Parts: sequence; C-alpha cells; structure tokens
Amino acid sequence: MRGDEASGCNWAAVLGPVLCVAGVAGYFVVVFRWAAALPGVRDWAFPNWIVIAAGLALSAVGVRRVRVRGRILARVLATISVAITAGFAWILYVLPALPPAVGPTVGAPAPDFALSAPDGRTVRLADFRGGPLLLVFYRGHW
Amino acid sequence: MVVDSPEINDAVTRDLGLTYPVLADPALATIDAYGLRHPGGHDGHDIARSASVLIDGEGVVRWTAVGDNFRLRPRPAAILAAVDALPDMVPRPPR
Repeated sequence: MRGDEASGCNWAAVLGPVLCVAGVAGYFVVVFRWAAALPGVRDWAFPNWIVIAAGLALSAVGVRRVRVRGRILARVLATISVAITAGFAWILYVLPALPPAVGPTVGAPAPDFALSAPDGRTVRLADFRGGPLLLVFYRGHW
Repeated sequence: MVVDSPEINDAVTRDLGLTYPVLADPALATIDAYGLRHPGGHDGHDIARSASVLIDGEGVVRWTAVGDNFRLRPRPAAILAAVDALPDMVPRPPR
C-alpha cells in the first residue's frame, strides 16, 4: 500500500476525481446523444453512479494511503470528488424537483379547453370526441 | 400544451418536425384547470409542470402521469399500455 507513496505518485487520489468527472460527463453524453436509446440511464444514471462511487472509493483510498507528504493534496482531490458527487445529485434530484400536485382526477370529466395551435386554428377538447386524446403538458420545449 | 405563444410553437413544430399540434396556453387557463401550474418554474415566471393526461373518447380522464421530478417523464410503453387499457369505445348493445 505504501508503494505508490514511495514512488511519488498517489494514483488513487488522482484517479478518484477523474472517475467522478467521467461519471458525470458520461451522463450528459447519454442525455444529449442517446436519451431515446438509453431511457433507463437517462432517468436513473445507474452506470454513472457506479463510476462515481468507484471514484469516491479511490479518493478515500488516496487519503488513507498518504501519511505526511501529499496529504493536503490528497484531501483537496477527495474534496473535489465529493463536491462533484454532490453537484451531480443536485442536478438529478434537487434542481428538477417540483412542488406536490395531484393533477386532474382520474374518472372525472376532463376540463374543457380552447387553445391556439401553431397554424392559428383553435383546438377544443370536443374536437377529440371519440378519442382517445393524450394531453402532454410541457415546461417549454422539453 | 405549453405557455409559449403560437408563433414560438410554430417555429418549434417546424424545427423538430412534430406531427401533433402544440397548443399555446399563455394565460395558463387550461394549465390551471388541470391543476398543473408550476409557480415560478422558469426564471420566476409560472409555467406548466411536466405531465401527461390520457382522456377517453367521451372526455373522461383515464390516466395521468404527474411526477415530482421534471427529468422523469412517462415512457412511450407506459403511455401505450394506458391507451390499451382504455375501455372499449364501441357502443355495446343493451342487455
């Protein structure tokens, strides 16, 4: 365990934040390139969390491995790993969190509407009698 | 359905090649009627929360997906399963 220290390079401490960055970056590659093909990864980021957990573990090993020389640097790198992990969790679970809501009641008549379509015509609920109709509410264009 | 204007929706419809109408609800009237307003959801402005509502041919709400994380949307398979589960709309003869 002391071999790396003797050779002057604490690989675990260096690779920890690198793996954390890779895990986060890989998530955004999936989201922007392969979201349709990998919806499970897009939603839950399982492989990304595995890579990030490995990065955190390496950072922990890196901190434990050094005694005096390089201790501060190892702790700084480990702190970076933790910060990256916290930021990723914030992006996935805190930033997109919505206040509680129930939406329309299943089994009740749908509220009527009359709204403009892009071509200028007015679209009403009654236009879809005989349906079914899927109404999708968007926050914007996503 | 979105709070954006018909002009913006027209541009997006063409850019993305959408084949379904994107309805504009800038006053959030319908969004409120369906209980789906997200106060201050975008730069302090109120917008709709992401949600899906399946309505049958008689105008009755049959299935909803109202999540608490806007990253997570219902998958197409879940929506199609909800459509398949709709009651048969063909009128049945009286017994």
